[in-house]
Amino acid sequence: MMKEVINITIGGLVFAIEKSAHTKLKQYLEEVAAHFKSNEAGDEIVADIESGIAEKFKAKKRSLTKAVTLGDVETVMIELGQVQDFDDEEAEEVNKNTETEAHTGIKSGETRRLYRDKDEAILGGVGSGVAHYFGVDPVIVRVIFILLVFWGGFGLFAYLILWVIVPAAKTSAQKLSAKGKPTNLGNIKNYIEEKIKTVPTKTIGQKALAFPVIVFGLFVGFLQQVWPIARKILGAFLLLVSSGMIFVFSTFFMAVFLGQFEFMMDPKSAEILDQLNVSQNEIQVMALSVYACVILPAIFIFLVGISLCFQRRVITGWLFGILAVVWLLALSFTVVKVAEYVPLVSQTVYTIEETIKQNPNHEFYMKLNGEDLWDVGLELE
Amino acid sequence: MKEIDSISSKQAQMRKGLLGYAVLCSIKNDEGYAATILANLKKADLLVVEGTLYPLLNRFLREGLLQYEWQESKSGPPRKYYALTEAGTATLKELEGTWKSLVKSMSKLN
Repeated sequence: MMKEVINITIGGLVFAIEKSAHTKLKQYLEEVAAHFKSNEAGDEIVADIESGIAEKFKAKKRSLTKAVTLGDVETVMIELGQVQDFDDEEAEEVNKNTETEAHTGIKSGETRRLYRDKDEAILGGVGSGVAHYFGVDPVIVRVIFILLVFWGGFGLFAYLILWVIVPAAKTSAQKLSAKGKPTNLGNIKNYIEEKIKTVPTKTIGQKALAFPVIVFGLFVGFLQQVWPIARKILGAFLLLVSSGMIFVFSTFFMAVFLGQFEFMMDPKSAEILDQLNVSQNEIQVMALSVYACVILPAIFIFLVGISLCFQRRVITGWLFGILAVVWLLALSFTVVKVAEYVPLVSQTVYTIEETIKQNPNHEFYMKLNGEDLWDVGLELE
Repeated sequence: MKEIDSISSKQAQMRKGLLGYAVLCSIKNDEGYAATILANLKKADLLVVEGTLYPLLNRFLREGLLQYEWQESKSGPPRKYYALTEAGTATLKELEGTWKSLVKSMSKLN
């Protein structure tokens, strides 16, 4: 049977094709084009599909001299599939998301949350949870925790706190959210590029008017994108500073509390303390009160650091209330005590100075001159 | 007959779900040419319809997971060769983790 043949180019290649085959192929490609019409990269996808089809014809050794048959087109159509089957579910979901984004202006469910991962836990799942959160290997996090244990016991302290305040991922949604999309610099770049692309082309006047709005929008967008990272850096900084404070304060407190504080006193203060004749018990009460005054703000900073780092509100109203009340009590107690001691101390200092003035050969004078550069006698002149 | 339909639809769903991961894997381990990707997916029996690949590649492109360059071919017009971007490599790594934990979960259930 004689068949009419026409020449076409598809995907940059030239083929002879039977007329019936051409009709069918044309119809199919029109369906494809119509399907991707709403897609912003529709033309590119259609071009890719056409290249794919051309590739298939070539594989069948079709050319200008050997025409594409109706059977070839039908095979290609079966292999490529029905147009409505082309979209994967993820794409549909992405479309839905962009729609809701357009309505609300809010990006849905992108950030990770911190959960303990009991599936991969050794102790409480804090290590693996933190590892998922930062997208690193749990072993690294565990080693860091262990190293931090030797740093004034901070690792243990932090681990126990996280164990208590971080919930375990129970539902699969929480498990996914624990490993969800991380925020990184690449996201910011994509976001800004997208923003720039979506600015429609207008006249110069419109562009000039729109420019500040665009810049402002970009700036706000940039802040929105940068904040998750800035928040973590700030949080980590606060955690570092406050844990250093907690460590130093606690060391000093323990030293004073146990009476091992001579090393940090100059001879003058030591002499004054000696003359004051306060009991060890009195010193301990004073130390505890001062310790409470300085350690509570440090703990507060530590908790703020955790909140910032892990996007989790750890400072509840009652916790803040208790911290504040204890702190105020300690502060007023310290102030009262200091007010009590000031006249005593100045009295003691006066006594020492008078003794030295009247008796330059007094043992204090000798002792102080011998041991330190501090010279009471000279100071008085 | 209905039962078979329901089974094959579930199988198709599973394959569809894995397609993106499979495509990224193929591009990482083999040349990033559409026909090669298709051949690999067919070999692995993962492809439902070939037409799915093109919008998928394009979406990955726009998501910044893939990039492509034109390369001359001996027999015909230049070809698009896809390659993973940094973000694509990172995504693939994430998906590998997800796949491993899925396998683990399923073997627990079995």
